Amino acid sequence: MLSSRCLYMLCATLMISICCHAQFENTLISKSYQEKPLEEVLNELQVDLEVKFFFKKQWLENKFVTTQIREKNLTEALELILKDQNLTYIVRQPNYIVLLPDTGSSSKSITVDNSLNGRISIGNLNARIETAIISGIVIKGIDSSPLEATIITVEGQTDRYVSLADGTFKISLPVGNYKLKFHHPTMVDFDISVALNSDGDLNVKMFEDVTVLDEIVISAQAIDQNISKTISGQDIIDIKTIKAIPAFFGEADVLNSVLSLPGVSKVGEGSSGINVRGGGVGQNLILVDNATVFNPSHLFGFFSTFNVDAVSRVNLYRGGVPVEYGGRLSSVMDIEIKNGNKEKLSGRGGIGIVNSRLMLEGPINDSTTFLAAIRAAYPNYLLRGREDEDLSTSSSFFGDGNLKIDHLINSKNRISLNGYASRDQFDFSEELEYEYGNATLGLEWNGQLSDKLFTKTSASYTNYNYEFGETSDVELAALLESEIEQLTLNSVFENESDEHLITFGTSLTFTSISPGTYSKASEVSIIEPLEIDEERAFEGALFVGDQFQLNDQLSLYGGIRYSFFKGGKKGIEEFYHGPEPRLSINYKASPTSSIKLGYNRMRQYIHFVSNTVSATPIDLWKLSNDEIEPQTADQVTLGYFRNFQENLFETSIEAFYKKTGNLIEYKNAADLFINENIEDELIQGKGRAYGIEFLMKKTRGKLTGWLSYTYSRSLIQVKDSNPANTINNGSFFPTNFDQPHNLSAFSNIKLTRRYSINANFVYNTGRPVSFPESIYQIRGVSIVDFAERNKYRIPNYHRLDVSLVMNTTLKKEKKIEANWSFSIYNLYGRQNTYSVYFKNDPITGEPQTFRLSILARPIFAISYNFKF
Amino acid sequence: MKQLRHIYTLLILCSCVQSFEPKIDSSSNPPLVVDALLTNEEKIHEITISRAAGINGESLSQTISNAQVFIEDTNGQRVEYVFSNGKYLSENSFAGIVGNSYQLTILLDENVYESDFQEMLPPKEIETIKAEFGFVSRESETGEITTSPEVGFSVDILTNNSSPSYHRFDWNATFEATTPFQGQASCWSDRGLDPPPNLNASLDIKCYQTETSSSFLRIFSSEGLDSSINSIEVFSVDPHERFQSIYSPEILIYTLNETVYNFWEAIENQTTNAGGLFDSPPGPIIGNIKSLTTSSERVAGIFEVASVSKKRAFFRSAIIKTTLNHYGECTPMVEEGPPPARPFHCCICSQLPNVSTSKPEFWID
Repeated sequence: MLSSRCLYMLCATLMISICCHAQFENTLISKSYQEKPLEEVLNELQVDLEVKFFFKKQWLENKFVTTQIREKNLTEALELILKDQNLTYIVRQPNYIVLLPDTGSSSKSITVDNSLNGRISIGNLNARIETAIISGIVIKGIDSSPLEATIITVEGQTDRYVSLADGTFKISLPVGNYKLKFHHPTMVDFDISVALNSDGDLNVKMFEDVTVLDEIVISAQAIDQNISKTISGQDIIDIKTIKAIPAFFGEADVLNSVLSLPGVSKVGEGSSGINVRGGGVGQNLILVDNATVFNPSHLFGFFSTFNVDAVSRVNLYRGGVPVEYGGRLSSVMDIEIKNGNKEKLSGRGGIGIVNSRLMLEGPINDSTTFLAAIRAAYPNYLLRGREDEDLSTSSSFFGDGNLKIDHLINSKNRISLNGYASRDQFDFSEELEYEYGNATLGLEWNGQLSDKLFTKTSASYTNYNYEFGETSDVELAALLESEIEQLTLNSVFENESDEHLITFGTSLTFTSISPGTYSKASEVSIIEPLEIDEERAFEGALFVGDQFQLNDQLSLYGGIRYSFFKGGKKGIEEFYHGPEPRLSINYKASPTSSIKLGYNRMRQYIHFVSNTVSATPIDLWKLSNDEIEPQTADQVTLGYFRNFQENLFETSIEAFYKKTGNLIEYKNAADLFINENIEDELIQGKGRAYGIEFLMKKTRGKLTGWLSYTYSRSLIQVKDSNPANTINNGSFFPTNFDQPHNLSAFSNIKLTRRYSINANFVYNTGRPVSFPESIYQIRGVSIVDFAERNKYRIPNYHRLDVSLVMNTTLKKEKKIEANWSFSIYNLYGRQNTYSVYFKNDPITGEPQTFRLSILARPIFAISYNFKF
Repeated sequence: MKQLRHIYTLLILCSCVQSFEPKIDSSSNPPLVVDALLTNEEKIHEITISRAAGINGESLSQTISNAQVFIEDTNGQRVEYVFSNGKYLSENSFAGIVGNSYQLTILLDENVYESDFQEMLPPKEIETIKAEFGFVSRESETGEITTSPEVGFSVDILTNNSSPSYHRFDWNATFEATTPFQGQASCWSDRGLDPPPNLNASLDIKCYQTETSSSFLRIFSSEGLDSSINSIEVFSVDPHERFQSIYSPEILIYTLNETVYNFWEAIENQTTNAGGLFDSPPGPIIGNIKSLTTSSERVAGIFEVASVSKKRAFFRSAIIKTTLNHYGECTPMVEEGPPPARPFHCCICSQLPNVSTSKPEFWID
């Protein structure tokens, strides 16, 4: 018997006011039943007709059949058998029949996919009208959350309809018979035939899968969205893909997974943040359900702060950025947290070597759901086992949690409340302590204001704070505290017409930064307390954009965002403003290929201040002011996209050129730590980044995966009236994250239903470093002279990770689905160079060169993952 | 940020550090290097001017001998320097005056190099010198951790909270050096040699060995400290040989202006770089001298204007709380075969480097 979950998934695709007229082969049946249990009747038919019925046992309890069937086909026979049983059915080819409760109302549920040989009827047959409107909502079957961007097409017509943020759609058609096709990038497609008589509702549930056992990795892209989507450079990464990529210590990781995309890289192993198309770590806007996350890294960057069990999907905009997003130069990573399961209490979790996680979701009542997730790490036992006393007396903790409550007010309004928090703590040998964490709280309203006008309005609060304490010397014991708070109100409206999807709205953000409070951490400490003045600013934006289809081949997205900023450091506040035009053109050269051209201008008023190669937890965010101008970026992209074999293979080649202004650089020997006049240490320069990205992806089958290669450069130029501040004689030089060659390959091989193997290979050019070209002595101290910045490179980097995933059971009826994941990070133990540095020998005083490698041997990990 | 480096080292449990020889092009145009110090001491002052050496060793440091060099104060008082024995020496003995500012000018070929005016700040006195005995653990190249005795020396200075002061330290030390086989002939007879005729006389001599700081950089800033007395660790030594009777360190404290301090701090950061991603990327260390002729030409080094004061202290071997094995090389442990011949200094202390057999004037018994 099919499990209830499977049955639910099978049956749940459509709910409408319809009648179902399934047609079946005309096998004639003659039977006579007298008070015979219905289940037995069906079992008989299964044997006699070689068909298979699927149902829940409880639906058949206390149901008996009394009827005479004479030379009826199966369809007619079932009409008699199920008469007055409050059951209906659907038929799947070739011989599956799914029983369903028949509510008897006009909104009963039926069918599933395009194998249905039947037609549903919408509206009143007696209506005498020429055109009718199908209204409805597309929701996820698993949790009833709305499905945005579902593409609905009518067979034989070129028009496309798209579900909005709250899942709603409208289709206006002449009355008649149609075949509707529903397509969503993360869901299974299906078709449904309708007889449209008059206006009616069509509410659609879509599922990620229609089989229980053969869970498939669904492509991050839509079946052909890489071609049809107007805006290029948008990646949607579903959670299955993230989980499939072998990860450090076996922990699936959002940030590390996007590194396999073309144009995305990071400066080194375990470094925090990502670099997108030649941009710095601080040029990426990371949103969790609309709230900004300032530090996405646990444990200095080895893990990201997002629990994959709570994440629905990740949108990464690295090329074209819609007008509703702004505030960062390089990319927007929009992480959506799942809505809770509306049907039942369910959960997911995992137990790993370093941390474990648990996520619970379920209904609170008919219209309200919840999701709660927590993740906690326990690395202390690894530290305690070390011989080194410093290590064994150290302790660490990190964790994060999510809470989301979603409430469907009515068919047109939905609100959700979400909270998120992460925390890191480290105590080094009782001498050094640090703590940092993010916290967000958000409220979102999705509403349908009229037939064509929809809104997504959200308010969010973000807090990032850290404490850094040093207690090794009680006389110098000090505590540094810093905090950044942001309050954001976003209101996005969408107006849909036949050919236009107009987006407009406003974004208002109030930011408050407490750069640092430096205080004594012991009674006898002699450090001088210091509090750096708070910085405040108000940032806003008005935006409007329109996506429209000029004809079958040409679609455009154009818009403008006008942003403004007022505030900054007290005494040197400034007002800045400027337009941010966005344009994307998609020319569909053929049904399987398209050419896309894009242009973006972005402005960034808040700056990430860090003069280390990798971001640290105690780096600063700083607002623009009279001395620090906003950063700007203009990016042009041109891409060719081509799919083969019915979208089995997706390929693309995309080039970009990005010109940036007012990039933050640091004067030589800049001191950023507790500096009241940090502006004096900074200098702004020009940047340019360019590159070409190749991607080939196999989307279906036993072997799935992709191969991406990027050639890109990221350069910066720093000139100043003071020659001492001019870097490399004012010429363009490579940024710290300039890695020209970047190759990434990921594959998932489904060996059997129980076993699958994943492999992930990365290769990139070593990052730029400065090496000394001469040496001299001052007062007997040998000093190497780093004349040119970033002229050299560390050796190239490559690494192979593999994992084996073993499902624990293949039984259909199981309360818990689980798997074991065995992974090896850095399979061949490559001693990748992490850094090269010069240090004076403590005895001779002569400088020596060293190469530091980390994670320089294979790292085995095991984790147990489950869901119920 | 240094602390973050430690944490990071802790995190990267699977790390390894290896010697590395990157392919580097030696600079085709090494910078001019100026090492100039002007203090408030009455003496002949020195300046060294050279071209930096290539990093690969194929080009050595080139001393510049044909420059015209002078120092001028804000009152127009000029002191010329003349080249002699690889250095530029002031024409006369003179002392910098506290409160005055000085500028260094170098005329070389057709180029003019000039420093900013550097003020000489009042000297800071060392209140006390303290010694502390302890043990330190060190990890050998093979990963073996050994513990050895050490004596650390620190100074107390008074600082003014409202006006931070910047300092650099230097030191030298003298101690009685008595070798274990003083006056014995074995150092020579083991080699089949005749002992020197005056060997017996060496029984009556005392040796005073002096050591000076080498490749040493210790700086201190009272900026950000809320205390009128600051205790600063200056240097430490292995007590073997040094603490047979009396060890006498002399510590010099230079009072710097902020510009000079920042220069030394940049050097300190560079020479202690641990290579982590949390380290600032290295860059050229900018001093206070620039080319007036070619603004893009970088000049390495510093014109350091500093007042100096010094203090000496005497510490007896009683502070050592362990048994020391002085001159262990004179009684080597040999598992098999005959022991190697003893070094000559085991039998006659005057063979030790930097030794005087005359009692220093400052010495106390």
